[in-house]
Amino acid sequence: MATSLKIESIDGARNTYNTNVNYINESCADGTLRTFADKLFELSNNTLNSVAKITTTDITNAEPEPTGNYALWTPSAEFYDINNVDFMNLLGDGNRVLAIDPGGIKAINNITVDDDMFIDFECTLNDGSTKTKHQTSCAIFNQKPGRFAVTVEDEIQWPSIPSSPKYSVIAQKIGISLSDLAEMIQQNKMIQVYAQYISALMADYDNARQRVSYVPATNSIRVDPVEGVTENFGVQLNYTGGFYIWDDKIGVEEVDPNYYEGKVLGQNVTVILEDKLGIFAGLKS
Amino acid sequence: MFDIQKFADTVTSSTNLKIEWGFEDGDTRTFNLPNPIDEISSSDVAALNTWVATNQPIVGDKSGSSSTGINSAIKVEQTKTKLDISGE
Repeated sequence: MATSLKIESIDGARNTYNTNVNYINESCADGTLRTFADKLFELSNNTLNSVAKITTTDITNAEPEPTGNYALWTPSAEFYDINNVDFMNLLGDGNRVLAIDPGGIKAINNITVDDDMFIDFECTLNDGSTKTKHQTSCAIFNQKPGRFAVTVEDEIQWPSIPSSPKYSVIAQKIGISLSDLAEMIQQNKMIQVYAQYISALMADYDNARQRVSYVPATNSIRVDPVEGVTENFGVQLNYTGGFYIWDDKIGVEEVDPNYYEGKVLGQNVTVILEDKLGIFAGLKS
Repeated sequence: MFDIQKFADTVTSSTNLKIEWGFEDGDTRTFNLPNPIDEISSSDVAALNTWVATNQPIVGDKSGSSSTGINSAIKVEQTKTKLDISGE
């Protein structure tokens, strides 16, 4: 596990700057870290805008590595607005890219991965402003088989009591009560919460992957119901989600979540499931 | 697809304070503070150094060793010119 500090500042023209200080002393209190940021920016003309503590841990995936690539990314992001070039480039390297953000983002304008395997999102927030995201987030970037890193970025002031419906979904998914989840949050264990949640999601997506097949005779991509899986996803999809096919020739098309068969026109085809948190799972053919 | 020529000869400049930290295991780490104040002095950097030595907010990335302080602080002014690569 490693902890770093992400400091956002603005200049006189209200341009936004991100300063990352890696390998923060984990025993330091949040107040000390905030003072550290203040001390640093006493030497700068920029004004401090936000300070976020980022915790990264490595998790060994005990399950066999899936054969395909897939991805999650932020909910409420318009799929059409995502920078498909960057996204597909990441997938094209054979990497699995996962990212979760429980809210606040309307569209992703750019995705970059830095040397520490953090994913930075330059994004448009729901209020229409454009900035580098500094709200709660969780990102995973997989580069080595069977191993991936989870990054949780949260504001220094994490809410002590979960009030958003998203916490109910997370608690249900990882099989704990809402009060237990609240206790974990109070104990600053969001990294464990997200790790468990993502593990549960990954199992779902691996099951969902079985539904996707390529039909050479008709050059089609086909999605079939799988016993024990269809209902779960059907419930989720009927709740808020959607089921999409992304083809680099025809763009995005929303399709029937229970059955789909369509022509493959492009070189890259991605099947996307959206769960009730609004999180997407892309299954690349 | 954006137009390469649109960005040709665009000049941007930036100033950073490049601070190198030392650690007890001999490791060093550098990070850039954007837009440093114009009249920055060695005593300003020394004050930061003292505070960091007392509170130890950063650790070395190899063995988690303590910071020995700031090795250097250099103000770097950088000018970038995007060149026309359209070949026309």
